[in-house]
Formats: sequence, structure tokens, C-alpha cells
Amino acid sequence: MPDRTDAGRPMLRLRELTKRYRGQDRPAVDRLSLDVAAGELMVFVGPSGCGKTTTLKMINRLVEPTSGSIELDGEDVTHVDPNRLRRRIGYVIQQTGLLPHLTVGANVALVPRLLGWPSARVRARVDEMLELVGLDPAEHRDRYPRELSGGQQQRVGVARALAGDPPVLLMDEPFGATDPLTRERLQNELLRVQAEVRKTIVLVTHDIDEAIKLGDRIAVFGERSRLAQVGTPDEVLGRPADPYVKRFVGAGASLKRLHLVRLDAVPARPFPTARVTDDPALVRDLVVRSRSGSVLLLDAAERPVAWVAADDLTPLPADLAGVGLPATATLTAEATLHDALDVMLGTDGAGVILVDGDGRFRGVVGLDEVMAHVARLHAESRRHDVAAAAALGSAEGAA
Amino acid sequence: MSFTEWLDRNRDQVRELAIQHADLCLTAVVVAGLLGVALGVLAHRSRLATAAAQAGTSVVFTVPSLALVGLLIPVTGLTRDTVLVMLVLYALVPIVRNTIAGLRSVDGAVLEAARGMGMGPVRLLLRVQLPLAWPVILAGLRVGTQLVLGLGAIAVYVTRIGLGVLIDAGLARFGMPNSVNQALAGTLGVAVLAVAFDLAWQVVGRLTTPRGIRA
Ligand SMILES: Nc1ncnc2c1ncn2[C@@H]1O[C@H](COP(=O)(O)OP(=O)(O)OP(=O)(O)O)[C@@H](O)[C@H]1O
Ligand SMILES: [Mg+2]
Repeated sequence: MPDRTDAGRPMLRLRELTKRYRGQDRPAVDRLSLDVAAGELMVFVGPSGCGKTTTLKMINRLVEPTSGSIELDGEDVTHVDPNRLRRRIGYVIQQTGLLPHLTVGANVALVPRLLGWPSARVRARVDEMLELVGLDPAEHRDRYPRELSGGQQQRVGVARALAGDPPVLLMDEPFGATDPLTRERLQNELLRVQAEVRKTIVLVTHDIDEAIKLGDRIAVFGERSRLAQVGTPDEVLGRPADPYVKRFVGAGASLKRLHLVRLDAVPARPFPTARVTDDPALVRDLVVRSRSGSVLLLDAAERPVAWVAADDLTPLPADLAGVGLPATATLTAEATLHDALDVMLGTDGAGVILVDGDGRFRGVVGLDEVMAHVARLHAESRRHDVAAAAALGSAEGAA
Repeated sequence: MSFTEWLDRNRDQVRELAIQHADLCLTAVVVAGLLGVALGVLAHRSRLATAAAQAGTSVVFTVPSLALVGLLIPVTGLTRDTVLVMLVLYALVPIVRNTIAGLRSVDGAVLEAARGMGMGPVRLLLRVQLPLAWPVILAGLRVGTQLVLGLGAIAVYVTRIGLGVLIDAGLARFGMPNSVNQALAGTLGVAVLAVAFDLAWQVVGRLTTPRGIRA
């Protein structure tokens, strides 16, 4: 999971930010104050109409604040020239907003050109950005937006927003319009890109799962931009600040928390292994002696090949090639407990095989290990609830 | 005398009138184009200005062309200018309308993204709005051109120029030898010009429409 960076100096400081749209008696955003640390990915999440977009657009002044102030990297930008300001703030929207009459390359080049970069530098930057978002520059640079898939267009949108090397990136439901598979891929890519470029990102979504997955911190918005809670995903899930947040986070909060725990947080079990080239008779002895009644076969590079049980070895085959149940359920340590559980439920529940980056066998994680961790999380939450109830009780007693 | 024989004999006169006609109409289209796009750009931003521009240009359509000429004669006299003003006023109608419609059809998300990248209003207009509205504006220019070419024939009632001269003379002498040939030459001349102008617009459209938004 992404590390917290809220110890750093704030890149963005919103102070008492208020927006009252003309003809509306109640402000859409009401005295919102929030700091976003440099290099932090802050997610705004909340129900429709709570003012997430309005808040975001006040940061790049597409919406002029009625009152309050915005500081960017220590500078008050509430009243500076908005066009100059916007060239320092990347902006990604759900509909991508790519200029359809310009090629992908020209779209990405827009801000660098506005900033007056020399053309050789612009060209190099375009290719660098396309590569960053996983698009082959040679293949995509000269295409038009309509010649790309939705997911590719969204990638170009991100590349374009990063092209001017802005310290801050604003993203308004960037993946809202994509199918679940593409969305997940784009989310993973964003995390990868962010690990590389370390921008200060404010991302709006109304998908709490997306917020949990992407956010270093999450700001849960209530009615009229009331900040119900600002905290790390784990804090929001494990210690919701009030019943509203609890409801918003929804049922299955403990299941969602499994998204936040990497597989290397739980101990992997050693497991009896053998080589595919080993003598079948020796392997049979190993199987008989093993507690689980099976052995994992590895190839020459120590990659898992198959599970073999006693049945697979009677009658004894001449060699072990093709014997047993193919061992396909492998995960690396970066995978989450949620992924592991998913794999276990999808297979026979035996457990997932932990491998390293090269696919070499590292251990097995079973349902027991996952459940033990869940139990720990539960105990923690309960302690928190009890403490919160106690605090509430004493506050009421004092009143 | 057959039509082709007649045409052969009067080739020089027909050619001269056709050139006059084309020149008159081209001038009207260019003036109306510049004026109409400018008006459309100014008007599209506000609902009120859009309504005013559309109402203003539509009024032109409700006035019969000869009546309009009648209104103009006291100001500009029996001159080519009177005809030109009338043609420009008519051509403005589709051009202003289409310019407004084209500018309004530009995807709001595209504008927001462009603004969000730090494009000012002038840059936005020249680099985003006009290029994206261009196919619709172009359609307005084409319709305006056709309108002007047809209406150009009534120039003859003000001053004796254009292919209207042939049509008018032919009709006035109806029943006399070659009167039909004369009127036919004028009418066909207008049609040929209309086709030629439209082809020219298609070429212009081809050359000026960015590949990314071509149909
Ligand atoms: N341009 C505008 N003019 C008037 N009212 C607006 C404008 N934009 C937004 N609002 C109102 O302000 C409030 C907040 O809108 P906003 O778009 O910021 O919400 P949001 O949290 O982004 O919602 P969603 O999740 O649906 O995108 C809403 O009540 C909306 O109707
Ligand atoms: Mg929104």
C-alpha cells in the first residue's frame, strides 16, 4: 500500500474555501479547510452534489471562490492570473477533453508549448510522457483521439496533464466512465506512475473502493462539503469518525480493509517441495510424510508447476512431467489479502502460492493465515469502538 | 436555332455576364462570411445576443428580396452596391446561424479541459472553438453561397449586371425567336456556377478541416 506522506510540508492549503453559486441560497462549498502534503495522493469521496468538483475546480480557479484562500507551495494563488496558474496544475477529467482536431502528440504538447518550451524539448517530453503512461510513442503520437480506445484516451489525458511537469495534478473521476477491467488497470497504472513522479494529486471519486485503493489519505465529504473525516484508508475503514462515514464506507468494511494489507504482512507457510526431475518414488515418500498429503513440484528455476497428491502417484509414473494439479494460483508479495482470498475462493481453497518477482516459490498462504489477520483487525476495531463509546459517554456525563 | 448554336454565337456576352455574376456573388460571400462569423462569435456566448442575432438575420428572410432592394435604393441608389448589400444580408442568415450552432456544439468537456490547461479566451477561440466549429460554419457558407448565386439573378432589376440580364431579356421577349435560349442560358449559367462554387467549397473544406474531425 502507498506510504503516508502527510509529514511533509503542504503543497496545497485550502483555507475557509467557500463557493456560493449565483441564484443558490446555500453555498455549494462551505468554509472548507484542508491541507494536501507534497507528494500525497488525496482522494475526495462523497455522495453526488456534495461539492467535490466545485472544490477541485476552485483549486485551478475554473470556479472562482466566493471567499477563502488557496495556497500553492506556500504562495497565495487565490488572485493570481488563472491561466498562468493552470499551467502549473495538471487537470484530468472523466470525459478526457482531448482536443479531437489535434493528434495525440499535439494534445500532450499543449501545456509545454504554452509554457514556451523549445520544440526539441517538447518533442522529447511528448514521447517521455506517452511512454510513462504505457503508450508506444511511435505508434500513438500521430493518431487522433477518436482512433484510440476509451482507456487509451484516458491515458493520454494523464500524459497531457503531466507534460508541463506541474507539481499538482487534479483528477475529477478520471476512471468513472471506463469498464471495471479497464478501470482497475488504469488505477494500477496511476499508482505506478505516481510512484515514479510523486506529484501532489487530488482525485475525486464517488467510489469508496477506488478511494481506498488509490488514496494516501481520503477526505470523506458530507453535505455541502462538510469534511466528515480526513484520514488514511485504514483509519477511515477501521475507525470511521461518525455514523455518516460508517454508513458511507458501507458494509464489508473489514473485507475492504483486506485491500490494504499486502500479502507479506501475513506469515507464509513453508511447504514441502520437490523438483519435476526428481525420482517419483522419492516424491511419493515425501507426499506420504507431509502433513497436507501433497507436495508442490517446482521446475529448474524454482517456479511452481503442480500440486501432487498420493493419488497422482499410484500407479507410480515413470517421471513427473504433467503429473498432478497445475499450480496456477500464484501471487507476489505486493498482492493484497483481498487478492489472496479471491484466488482461494476461486480455486479449491487450498491456499495461494507466494512467488517472488521472478516467479520463484516463496511459500504458501492459506485461509487460516488470512482469517487470523482478519480476527486481529476485528479486535482492533472493537477496541476502537469501545474507546469511542467510552469517550462519548464521558463527554455526555460532563455536559 | 438550337441552344448550342445560340450559345456559340453569344459566347462572349454569356461569359462576361457569368464572370460579373460570379464576381458579385463571391464578393458578397466573402463579406458575409467575415461579418457573419464575427457576429456569430460575438453572439454565441450570450443567450440574449444569440436570440437577437438570429431574430435580426431572420427578419431579412421575411422581407421579399425586391422589397429589400426597394428599401436600399434610397440609400445606395441603383448601383451594384445595393445588390451587394442585399446579397450580404441574405447570406448572413445561414452563416450567423451556423457559426452560433457550430460554436455551441463544441463539447463542453473539451473547452473545460482546454481552459484547465491555461488557454486564454483568444487562444481558445482560435485554436479550439473555431477549428471544431469549422465544419458547421463551412456548411453555413455553402448554403449562403447557393442563396447568393440564385438571388444574384435579380441584380438585373437594380443595375444591368449578372446572368439575370439573360433571364430577364429572355422572359421579356417571351415567344420571340431565341427568347427561350436566352433565358435558358441565364438559368443554366447560374446552375453551373452553383455547382462550381460548391465544388470549390468542398475542396476548401477538405483542405481546412483537421483530419481528426473529418466525417
Ligand atoms: N455551475 C454551477 N452553477 C450552479 N450550481 C452549481 C454549478 N455547479 C455545481 N452546482 C451545484 O453545486 C453543488 C455541488 O456540485 P458539485 O458538482 O461540486 O458536486 P460533486 O460532489 O462533484 O457531485 P458529483 O459526484 O455528482 O459530480 C450541487 O448542488 C450542484 O447542483
Ligand atoms: Mg463532480
